[in-house]
Amino acid sequence: MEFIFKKVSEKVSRKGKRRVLLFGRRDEDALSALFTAREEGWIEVLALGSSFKGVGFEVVFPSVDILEAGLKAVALTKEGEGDVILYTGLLDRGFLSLLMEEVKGINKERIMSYVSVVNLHKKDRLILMTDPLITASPGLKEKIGIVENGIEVSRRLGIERPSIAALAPLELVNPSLCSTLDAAILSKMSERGQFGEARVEGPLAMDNAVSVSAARHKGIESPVPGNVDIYLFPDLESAHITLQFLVYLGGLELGGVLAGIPFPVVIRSPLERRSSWLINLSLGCLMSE
Amino acid sequence: MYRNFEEIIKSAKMRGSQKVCIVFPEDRDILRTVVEGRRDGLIEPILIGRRSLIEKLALENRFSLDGIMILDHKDPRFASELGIEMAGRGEVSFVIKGNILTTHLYKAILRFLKRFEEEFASTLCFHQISGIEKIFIVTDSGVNIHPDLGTKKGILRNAVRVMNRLGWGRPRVMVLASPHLLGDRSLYEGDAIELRRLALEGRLGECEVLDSRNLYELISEKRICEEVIPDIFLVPNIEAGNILVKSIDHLGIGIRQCVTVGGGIFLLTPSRSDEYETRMVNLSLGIVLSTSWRSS
Repeated sequence: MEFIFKKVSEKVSRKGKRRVLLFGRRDEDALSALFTAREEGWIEVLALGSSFKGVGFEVVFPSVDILEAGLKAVALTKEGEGDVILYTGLLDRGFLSLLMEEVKGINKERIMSYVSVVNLHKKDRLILMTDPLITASPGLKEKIGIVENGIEVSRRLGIERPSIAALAPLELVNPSLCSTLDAAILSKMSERGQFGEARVEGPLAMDNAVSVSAARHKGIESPVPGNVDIYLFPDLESAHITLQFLVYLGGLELGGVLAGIPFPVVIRSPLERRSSWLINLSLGCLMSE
Repeated sequence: MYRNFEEIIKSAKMRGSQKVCIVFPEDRDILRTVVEGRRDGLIEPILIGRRSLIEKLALENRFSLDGIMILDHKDPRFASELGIEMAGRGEVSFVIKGNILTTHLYKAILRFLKRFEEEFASTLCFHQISGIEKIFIVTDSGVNIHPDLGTKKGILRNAVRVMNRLGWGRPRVMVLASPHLLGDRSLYEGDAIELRRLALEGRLGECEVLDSRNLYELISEKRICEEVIPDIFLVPNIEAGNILVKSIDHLGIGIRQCVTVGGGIFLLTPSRSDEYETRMVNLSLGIVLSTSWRSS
């Protein structure tokens, strides 16, 4: 719990106080994170929804309808009345569709994705993994969006030129495996500067991505192996499954943030422990302009 | 049933030296494993590959090949066919992959299995997580790219049969499937529900398929304990399987030992490692698996 939060909150506290708009269900863990952040002085909270009456935050929109409260939160944020939205309800299609509308409204080419932030016990370093939550079977077009969102989050974390591993089951291009084809194309796009200063390498199997010697043994000469900031998974299943093993069996610390939306929205995915609200809140604040 | 790899090593040592073949042992680490395994009385190796290269490598690294049979073959496809055929005929207990594309060996197994109905090839990865006294397997991380329900039944049956023979009377199975927030129920979830139904009807062998499809449904805040962790995890596709099993060891949370099975053939696919213990665990697993299979 300590490391990610420490790294992120250092940056957040430098940006000044953020106004958080809370809506959803009453969630004690989320409320506790909000109280902590408020006490530490980096947020103020306005609640939307009658369920938050009496919890200790000013309720500005006492609706019983969660979706209506959500629409109001979005409207207020767009008017500049809020910096970050924190949602404590079910992660269902109704909620996600609300956000998707906002994404498409700004730019039809953009995509919403989830970026997980992991503490792999690497010295002084946070690792991003994406997308374990939103797009089930991303095609190349969606993967480009997921990479761009990953780069955006990594920049907020202070990594200006992230190294990105486009993962696949093997490091060779195999026409039967779309994941290897997409990874190879993303890698070529990166070579041509289509991701700016970020460097995408792929396809890489997880061993080649992590270990320089494993990569060299396979004849891969690239600065990315052994130095990965962002792991791009080929699909939702591979990301979602790998992350739950890292967290629930490996005991690794995990947070996450929605990306690609015109304003920050904080949620807690089922991959994260209940105690991760504070991390996710700090990541949301980091994403606010 | 084994709680950790040390118990597997102990068990292997009691089973006597096993005849094995190694396809293309033209790699220092692989050759060292073979020589050490033989020295320690675990295996009687037969090497299949380019004799001149193998002998040169042995000389450079001062490995003694005295008394070890070398079958001189240059073509990796042919060498793979030969190794798998020897295992299929029972001339060797198992096959070890050397410095060769795994796909040659997979193809050889699949060709061999064409002679049998209802036999599937699949890769089982045995794992032990640091600090947890428990061995579990993840399957299929190697052979089947996007298995349909029929293939998943075959994959699961392979895993259950192996675990049963290793002493897990009724292994607990988690069919992994992630929630899809935006669409309808995923195909993977549909398969998970169907596999649970088949297991309840006793059509997948002695096993229990859990209702949960994600680890976080089994536990909340605490670190998971041994009894709660399933014995078998069935992954939805090769992307999830392969990336997961490699993450477990390369991101430092545990150990991975992979073996491909099908029709009574065992193919070890050791990962590169400089650790003597890891190499011996790999051989021991092959010995325990193949001898348990034959004796049951």
